[in-house]
Amino acid sequence: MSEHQGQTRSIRVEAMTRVEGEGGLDIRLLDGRIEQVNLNIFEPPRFFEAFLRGRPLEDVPDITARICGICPVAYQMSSVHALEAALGVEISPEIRRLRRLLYCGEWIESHALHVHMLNLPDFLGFDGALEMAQAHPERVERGLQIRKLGNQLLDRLGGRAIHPINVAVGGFYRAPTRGELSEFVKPFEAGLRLAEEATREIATLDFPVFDQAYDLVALVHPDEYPMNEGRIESCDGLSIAADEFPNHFVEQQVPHSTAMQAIRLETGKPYLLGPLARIQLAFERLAPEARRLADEVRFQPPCRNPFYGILARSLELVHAFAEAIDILKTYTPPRPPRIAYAYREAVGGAATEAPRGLLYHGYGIAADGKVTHANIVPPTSQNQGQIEADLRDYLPQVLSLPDREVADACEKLVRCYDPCISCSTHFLRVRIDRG
Amino acid sequence: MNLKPAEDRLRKTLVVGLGSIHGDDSIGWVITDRLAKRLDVARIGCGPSHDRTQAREESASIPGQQWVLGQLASPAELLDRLDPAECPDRFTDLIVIDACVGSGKVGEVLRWDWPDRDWETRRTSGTHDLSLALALELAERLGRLPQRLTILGVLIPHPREEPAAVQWPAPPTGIAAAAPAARTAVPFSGLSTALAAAVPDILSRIEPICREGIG
Repeated sequence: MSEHQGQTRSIRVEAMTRVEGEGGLDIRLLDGRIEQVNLNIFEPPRFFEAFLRGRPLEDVPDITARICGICPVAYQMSSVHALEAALGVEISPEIRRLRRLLYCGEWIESHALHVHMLNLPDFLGFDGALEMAQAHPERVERGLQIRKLGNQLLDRLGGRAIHPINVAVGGFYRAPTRGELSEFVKPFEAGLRLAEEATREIATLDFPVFDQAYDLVALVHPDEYPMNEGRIESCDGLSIAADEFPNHFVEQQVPHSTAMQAIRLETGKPYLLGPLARIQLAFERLAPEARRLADEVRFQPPCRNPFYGILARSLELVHAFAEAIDILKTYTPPRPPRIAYAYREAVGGAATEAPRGLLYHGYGIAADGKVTHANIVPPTSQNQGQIEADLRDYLPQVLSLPDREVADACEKLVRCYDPCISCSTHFLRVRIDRG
Repeated sequence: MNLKPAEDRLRKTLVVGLGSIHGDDSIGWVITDRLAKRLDVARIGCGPSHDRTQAREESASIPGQQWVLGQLASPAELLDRLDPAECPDRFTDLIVIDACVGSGKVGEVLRWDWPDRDWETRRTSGTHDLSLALALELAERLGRLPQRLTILGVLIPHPREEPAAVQWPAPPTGIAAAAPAARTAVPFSGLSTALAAAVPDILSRIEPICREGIG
């Protein structure tokens, strides 16, 4: 893991753990100064955008779902909204609510896993969930229980929990009956209580002091906590329609990564997506249960410390349960479950909020309904530049430690962003050279 | 670990095939499907994990023995299936059947009886999804494992050596064909030639393991 070459000290984490996908981190210090911090993503590129070209637009939600086993719904939602924008499809309010319910299921499943199994062990001093299960089985059980509820809802709405198959351009292939959803109300009320308990507990953790001057970016909707639609806004005043994303954000290739990195065109700098951004920009739209709990645990935006991501994510868990319960109780099956449309030559773009942050999709469609081009910009590739910048700023706090501990500290920081490397290759090995 | 269940109680075995409907990855599902007929289990669970009616069909053909057969897509689902809240009447035995690649003859059945130190080294570094080894270790630490656990790996051709080539189902005419309503009948027809030919032999090796201890 450590190499000393002349004036250069080298520390390397070959493969990051408890992150999705394969990547490493290379840090080079020359004469004690940080010379280079690279998130080195070596998971091969996956070429999904090229796969889509020439295929019927109806294939897009199912193919893009395959980009990620944790957040397939996000890929499906961004794709159907982008395609519907191109086709001029107006979905019904019932379809829209059912889509939000599906998204709640994914947030619950993904956030529960990250909070309890991937991130919490870092704060409690365990190597992972397995070690934590020995000392705190109740915490692992709670995470599994919450995650299972999310998966069960995805199963019911999407036909299966991983890579759901019921999402269609225009709506759903089949809408569940009222009875099929009403049975989720009681388990979800129990899930809400578990999420609240987790949040109260997480608020008492020791968080490292590390505030950053973030450019936070998220969808913002006038009435709703961001999920399926809204304008793209930033804390420095950007406010654009979602389909204007390519005019304000650009992906760039970097030599050390098979994943692209994004910057804002106006600033030329990286930015941060995800729970901290959403809570900052849409705090007032959190469900009352989540807002009350935020007040109770004294979590008040702005919060610019990435280590608090776990708390923001827990509050979003509470929100997702509360919103899901509301939809479950008032559910009316959409009729029809899918809005008909006609093919036309068009382009369309849309963004939704994946658990890790804003996910943009843009498509071109030919008159015969075939995809002419696709542009998919996942949240992890957007966050990568900011993660590198944060590591650069965080390193001085930990550089006096032995190499192994520096590597561990860096991994812990990176996990706070819940990176999904498999999504972004379209990620951790840590290597540090010290001077 | 007590490998022999108490003789005065019902033996309840969960046999789980891990995999999918795709190609040689479906071998765990194919074997559980065939075992259903041999063990006289009327129907097997292949639906959503919360759907107990699909997942809990049991055989009563042999007094003192019940089997529950399941087809799961991921080890994490197995962890859920072993949740005591899902199954208050605990399983005494768990048999996991999965495809594996390695050196050996296609269709060869490899067997590991838990705990197996080999498996501790098979934990992956950790991603969002759980490896089978991690899911089983977690289940053990959480007290969810039955008394006996056997893992059966069926050697399949390395994907790069022999493409799955025979009897693919007709492609669906529209995505609607794969919608949930159409998922109760699982098409098992994507095995490669060599693996398909080995299915009878695989069954003849696995069935006695499922019946172990029954006299």
